[in-house]
Amino acid sequence: MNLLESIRVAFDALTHNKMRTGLTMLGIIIGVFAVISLVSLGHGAQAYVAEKFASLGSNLLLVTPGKRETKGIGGGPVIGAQNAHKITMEDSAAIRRRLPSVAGASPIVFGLGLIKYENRSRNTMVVGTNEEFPDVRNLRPQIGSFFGADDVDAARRVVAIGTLLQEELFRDENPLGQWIEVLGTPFRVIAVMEHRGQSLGLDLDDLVFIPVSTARKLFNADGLTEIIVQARSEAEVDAAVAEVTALLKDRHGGIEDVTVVTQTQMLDTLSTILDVLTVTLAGIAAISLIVGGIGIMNIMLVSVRERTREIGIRKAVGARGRDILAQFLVESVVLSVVGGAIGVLLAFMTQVAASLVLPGLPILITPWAVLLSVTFSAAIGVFFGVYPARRASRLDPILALRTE
Amino acid sequence: MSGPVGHSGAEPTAGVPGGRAPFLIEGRGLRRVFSTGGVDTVALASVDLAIRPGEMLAIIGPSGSGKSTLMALLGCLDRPTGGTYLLEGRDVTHLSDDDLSAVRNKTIGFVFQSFHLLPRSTARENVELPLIYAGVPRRERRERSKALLESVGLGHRLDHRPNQMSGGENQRVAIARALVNDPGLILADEPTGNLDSRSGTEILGLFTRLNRERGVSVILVTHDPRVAEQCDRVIEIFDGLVVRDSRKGDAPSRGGAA
Repeated sequence: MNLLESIRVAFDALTHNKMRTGLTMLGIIIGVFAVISLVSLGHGAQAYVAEKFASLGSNLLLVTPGKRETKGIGGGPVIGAQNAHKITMEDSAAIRRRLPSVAGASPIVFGLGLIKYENRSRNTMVVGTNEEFPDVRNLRPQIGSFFGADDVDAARRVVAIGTLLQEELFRDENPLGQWIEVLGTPFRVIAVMEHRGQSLGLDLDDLVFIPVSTARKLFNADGLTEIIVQARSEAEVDAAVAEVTALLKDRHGGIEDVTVVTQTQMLDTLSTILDVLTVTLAGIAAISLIVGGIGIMNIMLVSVRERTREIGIRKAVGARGRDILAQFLVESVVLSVVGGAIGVLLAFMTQVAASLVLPGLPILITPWAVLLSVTFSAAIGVFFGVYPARRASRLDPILALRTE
Repeated sequence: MSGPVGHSGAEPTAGVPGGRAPFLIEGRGLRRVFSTGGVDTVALASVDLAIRPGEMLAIIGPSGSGKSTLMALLGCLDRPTGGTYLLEGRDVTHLSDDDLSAVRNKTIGFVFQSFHLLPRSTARENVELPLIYAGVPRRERRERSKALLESVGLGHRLDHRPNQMSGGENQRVAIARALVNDPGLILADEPTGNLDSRSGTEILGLFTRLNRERGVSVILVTHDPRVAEQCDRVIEIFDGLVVRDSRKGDAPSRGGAA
């Protein structure tokens, strides 16, 4: 019996008991659907992150105190790095002044604080920085103007606020020139930053910016949380890393006690995290595929039992063991592959529908997920079909014929 | 090779060229013992048997006599525990399962008491079944199955399923299936057992016609004396032994002469 014949016989048998076939397939359909959807979601998240990073410009470096072996993202010093040399305003100034491949440097002091205006208040993140920040981070005031070098030098109590704070605290009022309290200290509002929304888990609209000198006093901080360094161009990022590292080592008495991370490294780290997440999700979804495979095996065993007489008849008229094996194996593979194809189709349709409802939803159908899950489901058909098919092929024709 | 029943019997029986093998079936000391749970049951003690091509014979005996076991051995559905079995001159005693399948496919046609047709397949598909395993292409299968069904009088039932036909019609489909690979031997196990007497007579007539006109050997396993009467030769089995082997008239009537 050739393959085409076997497939025809398999379809025949499968369409005979539609309810059972449908339910058995459902296991595979759900499994494949879950694998593809979750993998696509993971990839969508990765694409989203990459895009956000790209929008920041890819020539940024982050200098944080403490030497870390593993490259990571984020600001504050890690635990265990407390004894390390602080990074200082002077470090930041030296980077800015002395290094040829550096275009700008913003010292950063982070803090949390209650912001109050009249009877309204909001807890939010306070960023102490310098006048170069708008250029370095590419985040500009929408109205008013950012504080200047003189404000930083004099540690003036001026503040630039995000759009969310403007809405929350001032509603329709013009905030410029108004006084707000930051941790109980009055600050004059000099700018409202442009709307940026979420970026890497940080709502840029929900920040207030004050001169770094003022922030150090306010938070009683002698060191900096980090320094954001802008290289002159993407090509000079590596040079900038080397220069910054060498400079700070020199300034810190020959000890390399800071970590310099480039944006590419941050992106890599995030990608790695998302990769692990994606694979984990896919792995969990794959479990449902295996459960679906067990369902196939179960049904095939029932089917072999029910069709014992048919097997006997086929053997009596000349079917060899391998013909019977092929017949049942093809049946379970057809079951799993058709189920897999429906799962792919369903995943695809769901994503099209989702993108209609939520435009810009970061989901991408990845070809490898489709390929993998279809191959995987076919493999499941073979794997879980072999045992029942072998049982069928080994039936004694006489006993099989006697079965009612 | 459409080979309808009405075809002249001039063709020699397959696999017996020029009398090299005088016997279609030759069994020497056939023995079959079933072991279940350490207990041995002797179904066939020792059976010697020689059947010439073209014979029509009945194997009779009460239930439990071993005739079903003998039929399974002769049909290559089973292997003997002891003795030798030559089919068309070839020793098939120790063939592998796959080789036995091929032998059944090419040399033996089975007809069973309860027809044993595939319930979801049409008459035509049922007749084509042995051809599928013989690797015959689809078009030729279609032609041969149609011709054979017409020759057994079922030209109008090609696309009917077993449950849409009478018992007699089902049995004729089964006979067409048995004949489709032009085997030298038809093995029929109680072929009239599930039929009313009229259909039974028709089926018996069909076997006789096949035997006379095509020279195909027919072995009927039965306990119905009227069926046995139709045969040239009757072999009686009792307690796993041949207790009587009688021929009618100037026997062996047509043995090897066709």
